[in-house]
Amino acid sequence: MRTMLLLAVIASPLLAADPWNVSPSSMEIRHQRHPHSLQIFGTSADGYSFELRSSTTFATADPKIATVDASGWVTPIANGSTQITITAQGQTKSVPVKVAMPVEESKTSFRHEVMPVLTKAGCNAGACHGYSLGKNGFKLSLRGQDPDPDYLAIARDAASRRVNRLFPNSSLLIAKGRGDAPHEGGIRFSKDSLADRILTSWVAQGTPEDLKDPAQVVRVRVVPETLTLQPDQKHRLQLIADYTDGTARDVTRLAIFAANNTQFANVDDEGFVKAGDSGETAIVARFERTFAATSVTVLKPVPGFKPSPVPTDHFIDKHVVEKLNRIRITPSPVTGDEEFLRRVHLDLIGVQPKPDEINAFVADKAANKREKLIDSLFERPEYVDHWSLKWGDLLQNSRNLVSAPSMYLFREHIRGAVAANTPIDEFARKLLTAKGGMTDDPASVFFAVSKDTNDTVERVTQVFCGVRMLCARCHPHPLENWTQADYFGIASFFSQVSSKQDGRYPSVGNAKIVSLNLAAGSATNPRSGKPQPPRFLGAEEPTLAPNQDRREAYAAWLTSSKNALFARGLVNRIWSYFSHRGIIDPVDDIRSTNPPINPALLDALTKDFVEHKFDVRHLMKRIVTSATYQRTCVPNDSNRLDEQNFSHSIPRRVPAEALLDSLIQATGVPENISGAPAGFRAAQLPDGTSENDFLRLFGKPQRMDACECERDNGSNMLQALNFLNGKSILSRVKNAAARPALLTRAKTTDERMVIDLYLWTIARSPNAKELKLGLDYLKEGAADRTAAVQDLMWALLNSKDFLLVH
Amino acid sequence: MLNIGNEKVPLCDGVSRRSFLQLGTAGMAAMSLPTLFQLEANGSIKEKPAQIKNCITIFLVGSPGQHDTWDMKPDAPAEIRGKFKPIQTNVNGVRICEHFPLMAKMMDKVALIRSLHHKTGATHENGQRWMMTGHDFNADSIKPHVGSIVSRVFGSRGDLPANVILPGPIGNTGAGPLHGQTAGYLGSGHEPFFLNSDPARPEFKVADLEVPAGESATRLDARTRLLNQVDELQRRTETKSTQMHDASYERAFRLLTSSSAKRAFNLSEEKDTLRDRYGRNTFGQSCLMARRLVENGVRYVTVNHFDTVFGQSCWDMHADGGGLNNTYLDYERHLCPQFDWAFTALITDLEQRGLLKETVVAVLSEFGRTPQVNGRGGRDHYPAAWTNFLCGGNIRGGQVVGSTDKTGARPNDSPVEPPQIIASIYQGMGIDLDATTMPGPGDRPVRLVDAEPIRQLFA
Repeated sequence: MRTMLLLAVIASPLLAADPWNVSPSSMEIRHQRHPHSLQIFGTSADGYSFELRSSTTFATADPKIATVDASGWVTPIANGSTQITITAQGQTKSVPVKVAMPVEESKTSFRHEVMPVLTKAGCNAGACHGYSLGKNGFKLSLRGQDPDPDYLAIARDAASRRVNRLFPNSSLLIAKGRGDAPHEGGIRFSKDSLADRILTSWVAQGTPEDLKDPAQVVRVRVVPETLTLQPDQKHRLQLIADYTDGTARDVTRLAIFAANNTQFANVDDEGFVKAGDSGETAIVARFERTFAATSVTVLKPVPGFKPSPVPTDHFIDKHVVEKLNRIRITPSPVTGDEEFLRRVHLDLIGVQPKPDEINAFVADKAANKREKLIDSLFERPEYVDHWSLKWGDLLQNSRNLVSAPSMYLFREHIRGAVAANTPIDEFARKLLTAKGGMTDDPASVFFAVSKDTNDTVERVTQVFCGVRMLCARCHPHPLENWTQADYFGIASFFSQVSSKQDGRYPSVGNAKIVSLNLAAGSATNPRSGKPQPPRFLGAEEPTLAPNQDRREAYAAWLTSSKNALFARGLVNRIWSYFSHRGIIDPVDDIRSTNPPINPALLDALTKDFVEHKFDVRHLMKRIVTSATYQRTCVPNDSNRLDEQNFSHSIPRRVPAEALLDSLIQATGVPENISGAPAGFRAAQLPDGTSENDFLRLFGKPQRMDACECERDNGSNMLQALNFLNGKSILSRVKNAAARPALLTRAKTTDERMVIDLYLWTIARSPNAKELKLGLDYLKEGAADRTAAVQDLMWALLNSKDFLLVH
Repeated sequence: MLNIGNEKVPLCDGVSRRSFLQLGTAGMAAMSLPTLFQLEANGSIKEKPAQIKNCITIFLVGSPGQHDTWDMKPDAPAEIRGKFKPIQTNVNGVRICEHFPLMAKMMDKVALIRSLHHKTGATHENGQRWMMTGHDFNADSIKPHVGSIVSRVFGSRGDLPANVILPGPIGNTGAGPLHGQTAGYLGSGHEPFFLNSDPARPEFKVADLEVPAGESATRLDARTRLLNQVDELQRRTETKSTQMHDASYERAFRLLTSSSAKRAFNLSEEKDTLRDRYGRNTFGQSCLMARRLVENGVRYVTVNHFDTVFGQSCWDMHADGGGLNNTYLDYERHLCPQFDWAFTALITDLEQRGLLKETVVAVLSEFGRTPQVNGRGGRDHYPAAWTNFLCGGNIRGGQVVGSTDKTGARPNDSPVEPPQIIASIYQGMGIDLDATTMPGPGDRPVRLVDAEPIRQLFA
């Protein structure tokens, strides 16, 4: 009823004209207990999704073959063929139905009915009986990964108290789940619910066992795959599972639904979506261990919205603006020279521009001056520092893990590749096939860093594919269909590798030599206890010659232009370095249940990257020359709430090293960093082990993890306390050799002084109001001009425009 | 389930850093900004502060021997039972060392766990890491301190940080720098706030919060007002990052300027008689400070009883005649009395203020000490059996969990490992371990600790 009203309010003038679809277009039911729903849905002329089940009339041609209820559920009665007639909005369609069931109704299936119920009711969740120690003596496999022990735990353990075949209602399994008996986990299902009926009948039938049933879920499909809704609009989903035996089963009522971000949409147990605020998220459906996702866009109607002209000169802008037009957002304009200059300096070379650079750039009248500047930044030594630091983080180059000489040699290897702009596929292949000691091949330190083969598996997948495999080491991944076979399939490519102390350097602790034992077998899958043949991530198990270096096969597969994971993952990651987020975010958590915010943009960037032979500078130049990158951070009325679609620049905190280097540049007072050669800039630090309070406080990673999340770019109170009251700024501005003292000695006018302070600190000229504020402060403080200049610099360095990339 | 993956950022309700700064330092004290209490400057901004209890952990660096304190073996041979005698407590059948006479009168509040043991090496650091984080770890996986976890998951409350360690960090205890008193992978926003100052000294001040040397409050004020104006002119956009920035500056300003935050650290507001009752020493005054901090919104306070085991009188009773020369005499003359006074003062004080039910008090140490008294009259490291105790919060006092054998060498029944203690602390604070996760390494959601609480403590 509510749905009808809502629809009537939203789009009634248009509905009559909009054709609707029905899913499925035909159905075959092969099981007495497999009813199937009919989904009646479409898209209105103004772009919103609608769904009509509640206002539809359903009729069966032959109720002796199949019946249909008012909500569109078709129930099989007897073998034969019939059709369901559907009338909605004055239109009629029909769906042919074939019923082909076995003569005798099979008993309740443990595999296909009881297990999904246990999962849906949450019994085998990590916080409940799926916890590795079980709960209260009852242990199930995590999220139902292992039906065999689960069957024993329920039907045989605890002297069979969990099931009572004579009095099913007295079974602990049912009594506790219903809440009839005290249950720490609370009431999981109500009496006579679908879950209750399945469990009760299974127990009453004597807990039949069908663990060997070969039929398995191949995939699940969610209908529809995308939704565009108004805030508060509702829409139901339909979930269909395809089995290896060719059957399709409606599993909507047995699946688990969850919204990735509940601010934008919520979903209930039966797949009813309710839109929230304007924005986008995915609804993830899980049945057994397969996943499907629906992308939900929530949009308020924008009367009189004028789409922006779609740019044709830059494909990034084209795809971004096309998306923005679809979601009725007008982007902010491109920013002015000074803001652009600071942003591109911090993002490309990790330090702010200096006053003379700012003045020269502003004075330059050339039309292509931004492009010229970008080209020149690639040639700056700081570019090498900045990006070598990034790769050093990702590859975990650290004295905590390898010897100091190894770490320095690996650092030089990375710096060489960044300086030469080595194509990233070549760079990856070199790392993944390296062997020997640090002096034979510094790239071998990549393997020396790994604690063991598992560590290598997790690093190669996370860094080069943006996929997190850690979960699948011990159990099926909770949000993707990765199993231990996938995990150890990758391990088998690296199981020939071992690293041990390099005998040539007995006195260098942790100097390792990486060697290959070509005869080594595959890794063992701990679940089956059997060797797991090498298996590419999400792909086939290749036939490999015995005694070959299996890493070469992996490296070739990984960096092949046909492998979507590699180029796409890297493009997404590099995009995120120039934005507040990836197109898929987090950038190193790519999975089907975390869809990209703008798939066309990601695909186009990936294609361009592959076509340009994995040229990273080309990719970066593409990004920073786009209007999308260069937009101001000042929002307009239409994009104020958008933080997902790159409609304006979103300020980010300057990363630790760039912040310290910019602070040093601004004040002229260096930092003594213990554990690093004198004069090293923060961006040049070889690893994360330097004991430096500033860098630690601002989130420099220790390189203990291949995850981007190890770098902490958040703002917190202790940082603010340090800036406001600690030595970092205060003692710098008061230093006798610092900028305030130098500028004061130069005896400039007050106006020049204020402008210079703004240029040195926040890399832009003050506007009229800011100039006046500065002049007033200097005037008031004329008695102690040095102190007044120090104070102004202190305030500017504490201001948001210094701390944020904007 | 606590939402850790999807960050929720409510808009700032119009209370901005601007209005905050405009009040200047003078107006801070009177100010109340309830919406900003909710803004956690860490990326996870919750809708309302969670209702959990507090915890004060007293950590006995060096570790007292079980035979000489809370698990005495008076019937064992002299070389095992040691020098001290047991006394009766106010709980029938529970006896403790004669040098804890005050504690003996309030055993009905305390739950002793006598079957503690761990299976890793007998270094101080192993035990510290177990008891500070609930995990075993090595250099490549630094686990966060329990207080940092509480800070990350539940945020701070009021002006003060959620996690404070008194009086300073544990320093050198022999085997490396990892004592489990850092935020680890949770990031700098959740690092413990170390007092780094001795509250027993008459001129005691918290260095980070004081006007820096050579600065005047007037100039600080002028600078702050200038910053406010500079910032005001930069205001163009409100986003999550600018809000986080504003919120963290606001927190820092509060701490620097709010008199309530400063008052929390001001022990001179306490009556002399109460300060005497806690004991006029670093430990006693730290315990008193812990109570003041909890009263003022700190969720997790750790009091380190000593910062090193070297060159000072402390619980590490090797009696080696050199740098580790603690003996029975040290226990008798000042270690036991210092603890007895401060601990019982704290419990009484918390109870009188109605805070004991709201505060778990945990007394923890690294390990036990060898059953056999060594040749010089000391005892050495012994992780196979020891006694710690919990009280307050949801915990039922007046009971003993587990026991050891005749020589105090092995748990007899209900063996308990450190993670169970940590799980029990969480449970005592009212944290549902089955419904709470935190972002682990690589942002994978993980349980706060891989163990179950000791059920008996809550029965």
